[in-house]
Amino acid sequence: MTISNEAYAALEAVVGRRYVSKDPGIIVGYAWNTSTGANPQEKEIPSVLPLAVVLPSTTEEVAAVVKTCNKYGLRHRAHSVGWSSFHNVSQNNTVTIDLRRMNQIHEIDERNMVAVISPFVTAGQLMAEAMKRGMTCHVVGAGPTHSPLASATSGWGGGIGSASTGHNARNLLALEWVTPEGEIVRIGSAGSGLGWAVADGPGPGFRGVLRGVSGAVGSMGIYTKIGYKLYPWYGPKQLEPTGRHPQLGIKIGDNNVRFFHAVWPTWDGAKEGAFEINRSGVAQVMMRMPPSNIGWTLTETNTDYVQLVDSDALPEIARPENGRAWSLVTTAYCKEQDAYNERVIRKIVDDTGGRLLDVPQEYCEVLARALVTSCYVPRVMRPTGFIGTGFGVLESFHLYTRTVKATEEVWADQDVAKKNFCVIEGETEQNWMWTTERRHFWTENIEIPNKRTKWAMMRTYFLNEHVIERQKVGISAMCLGPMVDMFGPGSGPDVNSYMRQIKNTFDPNDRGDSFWYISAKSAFVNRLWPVIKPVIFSRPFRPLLNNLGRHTAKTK
Amino acid sequence: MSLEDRKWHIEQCIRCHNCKFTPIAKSQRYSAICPAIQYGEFHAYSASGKIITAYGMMTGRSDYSVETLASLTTCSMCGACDTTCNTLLERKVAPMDTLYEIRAKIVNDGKSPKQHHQLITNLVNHGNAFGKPRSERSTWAAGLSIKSASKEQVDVLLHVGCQNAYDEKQWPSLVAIVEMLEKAGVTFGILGDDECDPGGLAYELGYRDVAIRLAKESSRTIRASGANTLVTCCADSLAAFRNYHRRMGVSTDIRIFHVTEYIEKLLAEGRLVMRASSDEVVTYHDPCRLGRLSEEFVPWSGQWKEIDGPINRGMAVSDPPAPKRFGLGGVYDAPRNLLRKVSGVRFVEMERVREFSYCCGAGGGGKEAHPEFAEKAAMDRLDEACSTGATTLVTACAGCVRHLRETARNHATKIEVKGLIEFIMDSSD
Repeated sequence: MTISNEAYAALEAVVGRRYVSKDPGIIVGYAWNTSTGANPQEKEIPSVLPLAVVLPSTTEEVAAVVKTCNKYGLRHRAHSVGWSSFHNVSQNNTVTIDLRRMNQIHEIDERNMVAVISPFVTAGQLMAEAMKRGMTCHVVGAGPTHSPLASATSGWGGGIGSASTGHNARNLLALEWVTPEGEIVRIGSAGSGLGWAVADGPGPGFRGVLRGVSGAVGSMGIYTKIGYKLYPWYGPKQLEPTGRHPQLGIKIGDNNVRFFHAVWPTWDGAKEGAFEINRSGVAQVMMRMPPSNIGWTLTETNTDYVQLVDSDALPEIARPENGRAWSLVTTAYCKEQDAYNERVIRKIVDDTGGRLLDVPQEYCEVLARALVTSCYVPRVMRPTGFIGTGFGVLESFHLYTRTVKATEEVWADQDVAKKNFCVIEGETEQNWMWTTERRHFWTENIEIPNKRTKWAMMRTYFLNEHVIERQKVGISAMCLGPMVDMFGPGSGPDVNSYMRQIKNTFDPNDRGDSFWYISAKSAFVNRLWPVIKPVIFSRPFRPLLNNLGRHTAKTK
Repeated sequence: MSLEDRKWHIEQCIRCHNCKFTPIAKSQRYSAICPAIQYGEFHAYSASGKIITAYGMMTGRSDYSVETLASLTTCSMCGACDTTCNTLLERKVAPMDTLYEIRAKIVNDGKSPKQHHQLITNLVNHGNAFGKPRSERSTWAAGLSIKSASKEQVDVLLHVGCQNAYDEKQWPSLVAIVEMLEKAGVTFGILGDDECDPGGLAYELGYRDVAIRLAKESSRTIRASGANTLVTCCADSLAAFRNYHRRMGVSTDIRIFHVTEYIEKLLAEGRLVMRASSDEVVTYHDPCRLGRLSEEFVPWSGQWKEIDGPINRGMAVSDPPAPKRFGLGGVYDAPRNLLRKVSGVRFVEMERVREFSYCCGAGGGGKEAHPEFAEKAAMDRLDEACSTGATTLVTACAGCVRHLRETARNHATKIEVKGLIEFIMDSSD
């Protein structure tokens, strides 16, 4: 399938010849299927490629490109940094709009603690600039190279630093939106020419309609500029690197940035401790990583890690028996606050039956960097090159232990776990946990698939979603695309119907590539799903489930 | 090794973007690490994009076209992508190893840019990429009584390098080096017109046969000199000796120093005293081929495999363990230490330094095939240098000096570009 000469010339007229391409060698770079949420199948160039790639530089150009696509009957999909498979076009007749040239930090409004940013500003860049002014920004799990605008407007938005930097559903303030029809709309205070510090509201807002919990994943117009909430940062104005590449750390200690790692003998103890640390508000970053993931971060290579395991030389912090743990980074604006932070943490950990591990300084610095800049995920990609995350739960912190049990249920099925995952001896789950705004609880049961049973990953995804629903452990934030009709109602009655109404209202001609959000029409199989589901999740029907996973993967 | 052999490695690319940015960004303005994507904008210009394009070609999804070739050859082969990729993924992707094979395939398929072909023709016919007569290689040494290492036994072979030998502006620095070696009592000589290009550029351009021939010829003449130490004034040559020769299986069995390392050694041994002073504010540009690309290459033959046991199953490990390559083995400290020995000088660092240095765009044939790309890279680097408040940008590679100096002059940039030896010379009492 190719783009017509007329349509191509029209795109060239908008952005200039240099910034549009239909060359297969160029567009193939926009069709690399990998990363979070993709199937762990062998890498292959997807069958569907964009017809062309366009690089606009202004909102007006984006609008003109969208209108041009509409005029010639083409779909469009926005692309920012390209982390994860959601950048791929999934339907024929689609143009990729690469927003790389829109990389401006327009303003950092210190008074209102807001950054006004374009799509291709990365979190690492924004963090560096914000820290110079005593602030920091939320960085989602994908790490410093992700686009905060893309996350805030279009996808999930939880991140390691959520305890003090919120969730991107709420970090999104005023915004500029090019509708699927190509109209430029400003929402919130920007709509009234009053700056970018205020989202719409009070009450239910249009921001929520557009974004919801998971975002429309690039299927409903293009966001070109947002106000993005910033947060206080008491640490140094520039992170001072320590260590030797690749074991880069940040300077901690006498600059009032500290790292602690607390472990408890039981999950209940860890829950109680975390709950109190949350309430105290002393932790800038607060995260639980499985010990194996910490081990991967503390080693330069997979071989180094395996050798440590084989020689029983893993550092204490990376040993499976210390998995009921929380890593903490504290920051303070003075020595007294720094000392107070430590006293509070020590008392809470002590009172809840835990203990603080004595972690070597070098490790503290590496882990502090991983937590502050959120560079954990790319490193965790190292073992197998892929992470699957079928279990993303955003809920009350009270669900902590129940959620752990639910994920352990998936892992207890050895048939599933050992065949499908990179199983770490002694670990019974792979939960990445953090708290959002020191209240909500987020966990992702990050399964590292081994590639030999690639289709089984889909089966595991289904099982995770089923467990979430059955155990009532909250909203699955990973429920996207075709899964919405199957599992979306578990998040609330008629969720999928509302999403479809929104999609069809604001994109009546289905011009935005909608695979990862929701299809314009519900598939026939979805009507049968309430009947099929109880049967298919019963143990005798596991082979059928496996085939369903295979089918879903193929249709993707 | 061929491009096909790199298939598994390409498949490990997670398109995470880390080949485009420094892992320790200190500002938005200087957070980029790849000059090619900064110029080309499409993902295909980045390391990730280039290897995906190659994968597309291998799997029949794309082929050579003007645009594809432009994206593949717009590159200074600076190695920054490799260093930042290794930060997170060790040698699983190792994009530079694939970029070398892509270049070789382009040559084998007869698609090499004509500018690259011209460089190779010059190397083959004249022993240098500039097409200058071989007989003029030692013109710089006219009037100096330097021993001929081809005829007399010397301890140290001073390797000059093409850039230095044929660029008159570099000659005073060469003379200064000679004077320093003489003062230190070093028994040294040069190969004069017999000196060969060691083949690094040919390797980077993908002309393997020519590269191997030059490497072997260079190695043979160096060994024939009988010297026990080689001191090269050329960053490109250092990368060839320490890195590319080993990739080509060529060994010279001689201690090799860059001239900055050797002068630092002479100073440390008390054989040389530096009396230089300056009140200038100076910043230093790490040349890619003196820095990360001169990290010693350790040949490895083995395979990557996925663990098949019940524990850690699917985890990819190299068997036997592949040598680590994080860019740490480059020459970073010696030039800085020499600069700091100039009394009164105020040395300020740029944001992107050492293994995360930003390339000036001069190398790898990028400048010849795509001059606008190279100019943009140099402009970006000069901008960063100016942002430090420095009045002088010092570097230790003749190619970088020339390219940065030309670009600064063409754009009236308010910073002076000097070679390190030139700066020391100008600051000497």
